[in-house]
Amino acid sequence: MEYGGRSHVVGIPRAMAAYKYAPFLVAFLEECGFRAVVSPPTSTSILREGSAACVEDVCVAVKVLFGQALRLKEEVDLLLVPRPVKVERRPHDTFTCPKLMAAPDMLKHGLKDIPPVEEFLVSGGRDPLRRGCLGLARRLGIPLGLVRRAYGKGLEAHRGYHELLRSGVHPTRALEAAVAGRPPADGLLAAGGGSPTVAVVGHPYLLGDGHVSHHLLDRLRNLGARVVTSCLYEGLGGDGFPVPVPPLSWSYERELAESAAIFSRRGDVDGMLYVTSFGCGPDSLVLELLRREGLVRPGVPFMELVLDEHDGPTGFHTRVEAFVDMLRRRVSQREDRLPPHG
Amino acid sequence: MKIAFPHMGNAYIPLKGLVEELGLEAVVPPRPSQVSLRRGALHSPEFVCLPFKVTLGDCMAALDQGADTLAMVCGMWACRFGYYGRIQHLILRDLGYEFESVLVGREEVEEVLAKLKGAVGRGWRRKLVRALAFFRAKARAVDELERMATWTRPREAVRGMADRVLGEYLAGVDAASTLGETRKRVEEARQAFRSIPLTGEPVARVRVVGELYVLLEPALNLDLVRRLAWNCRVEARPVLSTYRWLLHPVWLDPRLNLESYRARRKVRPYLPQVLGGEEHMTLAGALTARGDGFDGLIHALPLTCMPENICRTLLPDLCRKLDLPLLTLVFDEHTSTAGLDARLEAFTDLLVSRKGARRGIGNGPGREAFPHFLARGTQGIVSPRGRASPPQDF
Repeated sequence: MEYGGRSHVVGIPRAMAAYKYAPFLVAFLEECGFRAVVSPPTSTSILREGSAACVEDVCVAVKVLFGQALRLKEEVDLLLVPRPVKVERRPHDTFTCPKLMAAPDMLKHGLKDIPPVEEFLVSGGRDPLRRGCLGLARRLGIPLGLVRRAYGKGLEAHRGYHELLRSGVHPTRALEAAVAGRPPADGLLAAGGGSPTVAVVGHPYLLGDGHVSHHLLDRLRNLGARVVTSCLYEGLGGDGFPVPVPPLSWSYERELAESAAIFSRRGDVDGMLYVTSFGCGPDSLVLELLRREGLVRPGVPFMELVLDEHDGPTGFHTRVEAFVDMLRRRVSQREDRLPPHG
Repeated sequence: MKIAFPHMGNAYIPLKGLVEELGLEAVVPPRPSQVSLRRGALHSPEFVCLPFKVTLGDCMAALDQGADTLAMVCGMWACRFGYYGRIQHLILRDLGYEFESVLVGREEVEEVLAKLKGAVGRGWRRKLVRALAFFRAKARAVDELERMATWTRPREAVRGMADRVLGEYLAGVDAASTLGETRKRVEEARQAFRSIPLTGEPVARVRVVGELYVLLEPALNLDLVRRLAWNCRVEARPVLSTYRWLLHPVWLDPRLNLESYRARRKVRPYLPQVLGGEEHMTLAGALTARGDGFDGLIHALPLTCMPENICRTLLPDLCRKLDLPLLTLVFDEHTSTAGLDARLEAFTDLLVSRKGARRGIGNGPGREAFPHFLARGTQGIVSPRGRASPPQDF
């Protein structure tokens, strides 16, 4: 694609690794003179189209990616999908989930009649984001002089986004605010206190996707609970943590395992929800590690919630309500004799 | 020290040879079956992939037989296979089993060597070299026997002859105690295979690609290769082999590593990242299938397999461009084979009619080129484990 300035629209599907890199990419591309759009939040029709276009037994996140790409195909000239591979420096090899690593390839070959798919590769080096930008600039024909300034802008947006997440803003609102470059519309998740305190651990592309997660975070807040999420520990290198997590080659899942371990040791967390998607490969084993290696301290109620393309949220909400009720009873009795199962 | 390892096809023969040559005792659990699968699945995470469940069942059977050490490969890969050993051993310890773990991986080479030194005692280096030579010889022998059987099976006049010979000589290779004896068994097997009466060529040749365990373990893939040969007279060639799996990581046959490197290079335009599984062999197998003289492609994978599901997204597009018929088979804890049989038959029908159309027989389905299905009503489909009634109309 020739470098053509604002006449070109780049679309970023709101799915998977976009929940990590969309604010960065939007700021970078806007500064380079493109018009960058992020697809709208997932809806029933987007998810339905996505799962119709996709193979059956991949996780719901991939189906969302397909649906979002189909939604964007009419209005953009180029689809941009982040491809995170090696996002941290470790003595051993690190990866992200294979589906994140192959997301652009799956789109390219899985969908017909879509605009060209371009990737933003985050893979190793001293500064993976800068390397990714240089690669992207070369392929899009962006003059190198522009890249340095645009990279600075992008980094600013990236840091701003992570600060929002770490300060406890609702992940969905944080993404919207960071992409639009304005302060978040909603306050902090944990603002106003509430009881009990529920920690929600899960991938940002699940927690931040209101439709797929059946608005879990809002639901918990409406039930009067105080909510903290694993996004609080987003992007923090795990070295300073007091909890030893066995070496894992999946960077994002290690982050989740670490936040689960920390939450279960933070005195103020009454119970924990682990949100995963059906068929999630890494999570199936990381959950086993969490339970069996004692990373989640016994005594902290721990429930696993599996998401898929469910249309009706009732069953999901019943479980969440029952969990919160159970926590509330435990808190009011201040007894640990009740069984810590969900 | 009684060492046990999970099954994968006939990998137990060379592995047992390796362990016994080191002067240790090997415990071989019974072949995987519905029983071991159900036992493993009971204690496995809910949506882990199928090989995890089966190998967990194997480990439990081996521990029940008195094994005190469990060996498994492990590694820091993007595929879940690298974590099998670690998590399975956690689960087994939680179940109350007591054993020593030997996790063989790039990260813990020194640890494994130290354990080996402790167990083997004096002269362990010399013994290890000898054992590795023995291991390689047996792996190669098993591979050659399997290849001869794969070739003979769809061509044999009497169903089951090739497997009888294969079983007999696999046992012979397993029992062989010297390198010369191993070689002699293979030569004898070659003669035996040559003496099997044949009838005509198979109706089609397909390449089988996909996840390693499902490809190579007949108990997981419901005997796919044999089923194709016996019920459909199709020659099915898996792109992977036990030999490759055993020798590739330890560089005992550099040709395999070269082949793997070439495959990675070939699929780079389609899949530039290493996903930790056998995805490069799957895609490269598809890309070269036509050139290697195959009529179709079968993609076999366990449910929720990560690398192969990505291939599954890519393969339809690739095969459309290559004009290569594709059948995808997803395996999980299935107990019935009826669905598989129907799909394999339909696929064979498709392959044959395409061949017929290409040769200009009639205008389309070349029924006369494939009388087998027409006669199915009288002949019935013979299950590989059941009575092998001789086919009349081949």
